[in-house]
Amino acid sequence: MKWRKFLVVVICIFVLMSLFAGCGSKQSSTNGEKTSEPEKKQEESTPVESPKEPVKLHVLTWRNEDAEVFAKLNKMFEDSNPNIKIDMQITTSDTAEYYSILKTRIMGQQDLDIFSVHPGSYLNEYANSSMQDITGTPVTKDIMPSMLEAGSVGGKVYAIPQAQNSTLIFYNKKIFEKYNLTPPKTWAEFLNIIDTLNANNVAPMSVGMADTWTTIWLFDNVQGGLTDDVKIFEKLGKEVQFTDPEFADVFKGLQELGKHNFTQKDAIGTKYEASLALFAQEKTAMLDTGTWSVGGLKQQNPDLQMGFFAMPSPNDKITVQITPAQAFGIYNKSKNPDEAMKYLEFLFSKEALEIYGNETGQLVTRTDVTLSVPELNEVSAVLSQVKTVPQLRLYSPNTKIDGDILPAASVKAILGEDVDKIISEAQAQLEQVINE
Amino acid sequence: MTKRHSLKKIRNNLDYLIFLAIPLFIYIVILIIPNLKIFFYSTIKWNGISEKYEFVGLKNYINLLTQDKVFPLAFKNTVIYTVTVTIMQNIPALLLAVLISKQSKINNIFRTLYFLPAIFSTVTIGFIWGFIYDPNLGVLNMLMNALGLGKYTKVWLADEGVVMFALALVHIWAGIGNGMILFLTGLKNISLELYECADIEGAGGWQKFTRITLPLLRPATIIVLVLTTIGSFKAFDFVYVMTGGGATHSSEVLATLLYKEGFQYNRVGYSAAISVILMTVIMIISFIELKVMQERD
Repeated sequence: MKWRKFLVVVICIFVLMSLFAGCGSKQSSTNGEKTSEPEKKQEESTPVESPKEPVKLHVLTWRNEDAEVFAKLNKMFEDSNPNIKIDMQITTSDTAEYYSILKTRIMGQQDLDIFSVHPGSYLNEYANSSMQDITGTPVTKDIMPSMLEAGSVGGKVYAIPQAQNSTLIFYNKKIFEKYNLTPPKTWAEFLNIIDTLNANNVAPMSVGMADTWTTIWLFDNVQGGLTDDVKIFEKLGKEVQFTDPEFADVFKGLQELGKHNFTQKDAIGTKYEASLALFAQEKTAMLDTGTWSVGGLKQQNPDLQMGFFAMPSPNDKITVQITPAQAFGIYNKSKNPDEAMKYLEFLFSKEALEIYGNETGQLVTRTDVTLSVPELNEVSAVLSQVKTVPQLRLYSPNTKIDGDILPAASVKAILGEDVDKIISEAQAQLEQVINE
Repeated sequence: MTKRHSLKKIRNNLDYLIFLAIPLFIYIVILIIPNLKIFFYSTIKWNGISEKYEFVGLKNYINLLTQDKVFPLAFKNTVIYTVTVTIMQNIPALLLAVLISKQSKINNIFRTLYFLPAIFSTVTIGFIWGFIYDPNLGVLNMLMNALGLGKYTKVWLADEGVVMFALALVHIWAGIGNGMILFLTGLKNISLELYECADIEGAGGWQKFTRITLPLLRPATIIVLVLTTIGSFKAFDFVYVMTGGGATHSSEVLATLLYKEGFQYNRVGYSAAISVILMTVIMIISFIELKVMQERD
């Protein structure tokens, strides 16, 4: 029995020693080989100069449709900076998925140097606690002032939007021609287009309502002309409530669209990606999305003839909201802030933004970049004829409002639920969030 | 005398205690402490990224139980999902186990086939079934149309009346193999002599099943029931991959709700309060299941 106890004690000592050894000895990694502290000291004392260890920058973003162009840009950067390697993780566009990964990285203090955020309430959440103040740095020099403002919190610049998008209705030119349809100027004309398409058994519009959040763009488009107050969301929960006509009219407008069967069949069961595919495959005549989808749709169907128009609001006014997209900033606990700044400067250089804009079909945020995407010329022509304002939701006080409350209420309105009930439920949720 | 006796007892069991100490230490650090921290998180208002937080006491619980419109819906959906999975997975799993319990080559093939879904990644299964259920491109509706059952087709993952059952079906399909294996293990422990005696006394198949198999399978049944209840009550992956809790929360369950509140809407304290409630409910249900089954024993 004694030898057994002895054996047990010896094993336990070994296990504990190995545990403490693992915790106690600081290790540094060079070219994949680990060296312990004493060995390192010995190496340092030798006169042979070892090559400088390459820096790996960890970048996180959600634009998976731009994966190819990011790979190209990263290679360009690595070629001109051989000592910096880019490790970019690209998630899906699903905000829940993206922010859970970002938050896990931040909470777990994992490797992270640069990440993108949605300007507005998401930026507000992350700016002060997790992002480096880049006000006045050279990277901000040629960026459009309105875009710098979109990347600012409390007067300080924390992130720079890479693109500026607008939510528009994309339409299939061939289908529109076939049924003698032209872009609408009034709400009644828009409803007439829907009715004509339905009468000819053509699905009017692709909407991916299964994801719920996608309906927020419909909300934006209907709301556009209904309010002149660009800071309406900033006042939400204080001077402005969901019960006010500015919001109630939006839900009524969405309900009217629903009554005209403006979506494809079973839109409630269709996911966002499937809704894009339906439009790209020319199975629907219109698509409610933003200019961020131009590149992806062209990739899916290079022969697709797309046109664009701004959706009239129920009061016949047309206002397009300009959305600053994926704003990149530096993590304030980055282990490589200098290299991260170097990468950011590259990403927002004229050359890189030109490539990014041309290959993704998005308007970029530098003042000196000219793009050669025919669709963007059309978009610019549309925008030149209507009133444009910065995205109203940029000033939303809480991510839950635009991430959950409004999209869910929009879906319910489209499905024909009682508008008063929708508004009172949304108002109750708003009060809960604001009072917290 | 008593002191000396207990010291001797400790000395005699020293090797066991040392062996137990290490896993216990790891278990406490990795599992118990983080779980206890959840109770603390549930009493604060914190966005999960800032270093500042505010102590709010029971406010998160009060808001959750009195003001939140989604929480009762998520709770109801979770209960529907759990009940469906627990009943519809375990009864067929038991029947399959009984049917293929005899050793034979064909039974080995069946066992492998039935267990196969359990080895696939749940995310992969979710994606595959998402495509099957798709209203426009999915196989299920196409098949039903081809069979002349077009009027019964549905938007399976968005119809409030069926979505939880559609999701539960995927869980059942993926998990039936696990239940079957546990029941098979239980069946192996039943002595064949009992069946021989029953045969001699003229018992039929049904009588043997109800009088011998079922009562002696009770230990395995307890394990299967408790595991299925816990697994389905905290279901997340299938629901999140296939519907994300939508549309408009119609398939929201407690696990997807707490994930969204914590990670997407940065309400970590609120999310922690949901997880405390989820944990408490699971503990209560598991305790009741164990008690009821043990009392019957």
